[in-house]
Amino acid sequence: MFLDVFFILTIGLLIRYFIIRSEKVNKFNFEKLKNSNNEIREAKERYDIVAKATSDTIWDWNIKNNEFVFNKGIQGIFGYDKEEVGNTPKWWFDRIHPQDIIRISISIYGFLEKKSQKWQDEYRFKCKDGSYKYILERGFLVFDDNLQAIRMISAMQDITQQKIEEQRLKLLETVIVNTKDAVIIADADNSDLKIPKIVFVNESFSIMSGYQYNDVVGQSPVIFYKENDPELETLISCLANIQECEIETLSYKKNGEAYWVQFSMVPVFNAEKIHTHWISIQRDITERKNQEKEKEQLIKELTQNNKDLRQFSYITSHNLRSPLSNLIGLLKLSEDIVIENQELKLIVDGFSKSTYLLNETISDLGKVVIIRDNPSIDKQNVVLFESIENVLDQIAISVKKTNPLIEINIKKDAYIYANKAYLESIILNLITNSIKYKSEIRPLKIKIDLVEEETLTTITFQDNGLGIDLVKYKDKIFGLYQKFHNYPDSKGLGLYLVKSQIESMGGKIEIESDVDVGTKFSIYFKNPQ
Amino acid sequence: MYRKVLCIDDDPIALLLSKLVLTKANFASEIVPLHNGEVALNYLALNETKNNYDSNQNLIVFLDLNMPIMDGWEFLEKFQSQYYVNYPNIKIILLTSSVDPSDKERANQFPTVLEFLSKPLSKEVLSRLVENYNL
Repeated sequence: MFLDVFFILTIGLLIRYFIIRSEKVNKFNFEKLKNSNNEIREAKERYDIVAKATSDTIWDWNIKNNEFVFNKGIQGIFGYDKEEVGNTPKWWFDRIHPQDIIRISISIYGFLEKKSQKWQDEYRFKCKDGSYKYILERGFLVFDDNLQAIRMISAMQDITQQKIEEQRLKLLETVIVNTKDAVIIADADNSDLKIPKIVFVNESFSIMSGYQYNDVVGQSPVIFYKENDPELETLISCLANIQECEIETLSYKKNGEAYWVQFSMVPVFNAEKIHTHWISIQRDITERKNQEKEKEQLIKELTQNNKDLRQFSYITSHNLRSPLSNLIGLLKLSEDIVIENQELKLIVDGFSKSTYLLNETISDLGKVVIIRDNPSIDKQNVVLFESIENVLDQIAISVKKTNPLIEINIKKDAYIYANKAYLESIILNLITNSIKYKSEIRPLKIKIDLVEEETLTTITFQDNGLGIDLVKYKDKIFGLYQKFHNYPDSKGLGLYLVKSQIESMGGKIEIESDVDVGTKFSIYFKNPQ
Repeated sequence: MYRKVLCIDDDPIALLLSKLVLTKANFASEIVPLHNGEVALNYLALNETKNNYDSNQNLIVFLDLNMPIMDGWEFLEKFQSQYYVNYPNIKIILLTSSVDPSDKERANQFPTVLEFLSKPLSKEVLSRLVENYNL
């Protein structure tokens, strides 16, 4: 009986023990299951939230059944319609830029082989409109218990803007690095220094100045200049006022050699409009400066030479004229004396002719010097007919000898805006030329015309004389000391003087001529406004 | 009227020529050749001290510019500052071979200068002078 009771109790206790134990295990299993379910749910929720919240495009590749799912990013960022988005990895793969595809294939299969957890790469991905976007892709693998990769989840981040900016910066950097101009970038912080510290110099600066990058970074640019340079003061004042500045100043190389530099400097501000740096672009202008100096010196010398020459020509002219005027005066006096001796008479006549010719030449030369020396000349309205009559009076003797037929087709009151003395000298030269170079077989005819137009007045002098071979002498007609006929009283100065006088009045002269037919000069004057 | 003519020129031929022309044209009652500005000033000073300057006589000077010792310009300046008061009727005529336009301009600054003539002197010029200035 006691044994039975003991047996029953023992069994009961054992059963109770097992029940309690089993309950514990069950409870533990249940808790475990419950937790696991929670984790999965939470992970799923987290994934969904992230997939929704992120601006990235996320894809999920089930490697076992080769299913490939994109989130909505593929529509928003790349412009694809929901229906056309494929559900295989091939669809994703086909849209990678042809230049990137080999690299990406190798990279991703390497990743899958190695079974590492994370993968990251950059490539270009095609949008619906055919354009490409730069992508930074970050993916990871999910493994089963046997360490088999069963899933890959990856995020495509659109980094097109960054890439463009990066390329732009690279381009700008290339410019700075490769430009022939020296570039210096300095810090804006100049609180403790008069001039800020250098943070960058390019290669051109090193070539120009002899200072290497490490020599100057951290230094103040004052090391390149001498103190008390007034241009340096300008620079410092611009630095203090955060102003742009452009100066030309003497700079010094590392070896102490001086060189001229054109120096421009601009303040640089960041997005918050805070002044952060100074950029200075410099160019070695020593050669230009030297050329300028040489030019200045040359101009100075030329001006002096010109002045000396002018003085010389006046003095020469004066010294020639003094004895010549004596000769002329004496010859004039001799004209009143009857010379009995015929031989002496011939000699005095020849003496007289030569003296007058010499006098004319020197007087013309004097006029040329004066014209060249006085580029601007007083002008007035000159009655042309009167001037022609004045000239004909002056040369009445030689006109009488030749007795030309002179036809003047000019109204008596017609005037021309010119310098009277020059105009009469021009008329004199052209008429005496016609007389000198008249034909031996035709009686001389001279025709003078005036054509008045709105802006231009033209005077023409036409004769039927010997003419000039223009083909042969074209470039020499109005030159100095050019003679086209072997005449003893020709000086080769007349037309040069005529041209100089016309040009000094702002006019122009042209010639037409045929040998043994005649010559026509056309003189053009602009009418005053 | 008594016309006294001073010819101031360093060139003896020019002086001879002026003398011949003046004589031939019956222009001068008396001709005094002087070789440069200094000689001319001395002559005037001497005449002044002798006080034989007759205000009724016409004193005409033909003055060259380019001369040694004292040129025409210096003569004009000294004359104007020292002697002009004593010779109010003096008439100075520049007779020169210069063609420098600046000489002509400079001559205009001297009120005593009547004309700027180019050499040589001729009877035509003389008769024009008589006519224009009532010499």
